[in-house]
Amino acid sequence: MTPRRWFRLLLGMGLYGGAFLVACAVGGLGYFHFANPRDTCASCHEMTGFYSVWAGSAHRTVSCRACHGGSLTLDVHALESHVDRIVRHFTGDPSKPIHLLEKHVLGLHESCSRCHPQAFADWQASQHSTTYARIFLDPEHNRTASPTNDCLRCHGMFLRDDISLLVARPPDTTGSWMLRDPLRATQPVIPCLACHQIHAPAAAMQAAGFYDHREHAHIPAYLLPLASIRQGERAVKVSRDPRQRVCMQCHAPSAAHQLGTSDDRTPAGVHEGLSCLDCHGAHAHSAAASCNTCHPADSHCGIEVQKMDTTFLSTKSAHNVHTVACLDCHPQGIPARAQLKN
Amino acid sequence: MAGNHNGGGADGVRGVAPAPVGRGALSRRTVLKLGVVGIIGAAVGAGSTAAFARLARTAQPRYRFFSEAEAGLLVDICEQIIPRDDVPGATDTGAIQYIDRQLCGALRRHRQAYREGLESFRRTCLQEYGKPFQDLPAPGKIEALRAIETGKAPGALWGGPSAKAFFSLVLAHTMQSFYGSPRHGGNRGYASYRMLGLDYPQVVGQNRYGKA
Repeated sequence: MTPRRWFRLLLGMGLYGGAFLVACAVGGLGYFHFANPRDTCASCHEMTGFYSVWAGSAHRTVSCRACHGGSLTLDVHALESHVDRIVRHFTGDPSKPIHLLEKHVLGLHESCSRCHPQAFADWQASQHSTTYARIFLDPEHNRTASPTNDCLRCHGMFLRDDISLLVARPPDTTGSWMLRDPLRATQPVIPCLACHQIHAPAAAMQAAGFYDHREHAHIPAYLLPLASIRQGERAVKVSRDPRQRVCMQCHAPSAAHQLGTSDDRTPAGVHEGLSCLDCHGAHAHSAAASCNTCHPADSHCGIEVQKMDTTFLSTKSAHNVHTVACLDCHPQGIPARAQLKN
Repeated sequence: MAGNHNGGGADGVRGVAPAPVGRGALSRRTVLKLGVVGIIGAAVGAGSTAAFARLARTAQPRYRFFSEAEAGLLVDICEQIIPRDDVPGATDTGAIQYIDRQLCGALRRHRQAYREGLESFRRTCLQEYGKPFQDLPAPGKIEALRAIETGKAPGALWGGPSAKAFFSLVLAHTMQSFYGSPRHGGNRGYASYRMLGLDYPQVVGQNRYGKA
């Protein structure tokens, strides 16, 4: 055989062999993409638990690939993630559980918004869609506080890193913090999964859960502790609504559990015993239209409740609507109803 | 021959110069062959993956380290150490899952001790009580465990770890699973935290630190 024919033979073998291998890969990936996850990803130890929980969740009709991406994808992050899982399966420490990284959590937002457009739009309009720049680059806050990992408990909770890898302190400690990755500036710090456990059991109440940064896991709302809040020596009646326990993980009092300390917003006074969700929308968080739910147009005083001197009307008011009591406006005692009518 | 099938003739009919048949041009026959190879390859790829997945599923053990028999025995031992009462016990809170997972990780050094210890335990029960541990009545299980804890089990059957050492090992790991963080595989549903009345996660506001 002449060298030219050898060359053509080898070229042909390479061409057909290459085509065969590429087709094999596409076929295999196609199988993984379309087959029942029980036969593919979930057949591995690492995924069995996740699959079992998902199979009993409200999202069990949503395929894995709808949120996590399939095998037939050109998304580099998804491919990297899938390959990483396979490599870890065969070479890594199988005792280490698999967790979503922040980039995966943010990637899920598209899937969330596809099926829950109203809830997603409400969240986008709320203060809970705040960004890394808004939270970590606030000059006023930066002047009085130092970066601490505790920040990550409620903001950027899906970050695996120490906060020193997220923000840099200025050399002279007087200037503003700096994000080490400027691209993070516009990313949300409280994503959907901060308060939602997508693989949670189907019961609606159990869908809410708090993502604990330290445990790298969701804790269902019904397992979260019910805070004991005190107003002086008096125990405040706290709503038993499990969803409120999620709110209180971040809107929490100081260690002494005194009402209104730190970020606590526990209702007291005339609103004592109410749940956050009684007034605030679950995603919009606005309480603007909530008064009418319980109050008639006018109060006992004959004044429209929305126009009373509380922080509901003006944030400058001395009477916090969360804790306002009758005696705040009637320090001499509450007038009898008959007198009010006159 | 390749030139007869490259489709260039059609263009020539319309008065356009036929495309030259270069080294890189593929004939229709070559394209067809590649298509057939591709289809066969895709079928082989999908089929082999499916077959592999089925093979993996049928061979898939429930535990990473333990056999079913070993796991069954260890579950029964752990449940005697932390039995279920008004709060969940070792079985409910995933003691076996914790030990099994950690034996593939941080507790890897104890693998041999478990393998040999469980075998010695099994043989001790058969020799001393005439039946497997799982089949013993509750008082019999306690008695067997006491004998092992105090080192009264026949030493000849304990070639690996001593009976006392094995009991201490299982006791320590069962406690770890029950009282440790659920992230390690045990304490399912924060059962021990709730039993102790320990709020987790603590409800506490911002821990801010002023600038030094």
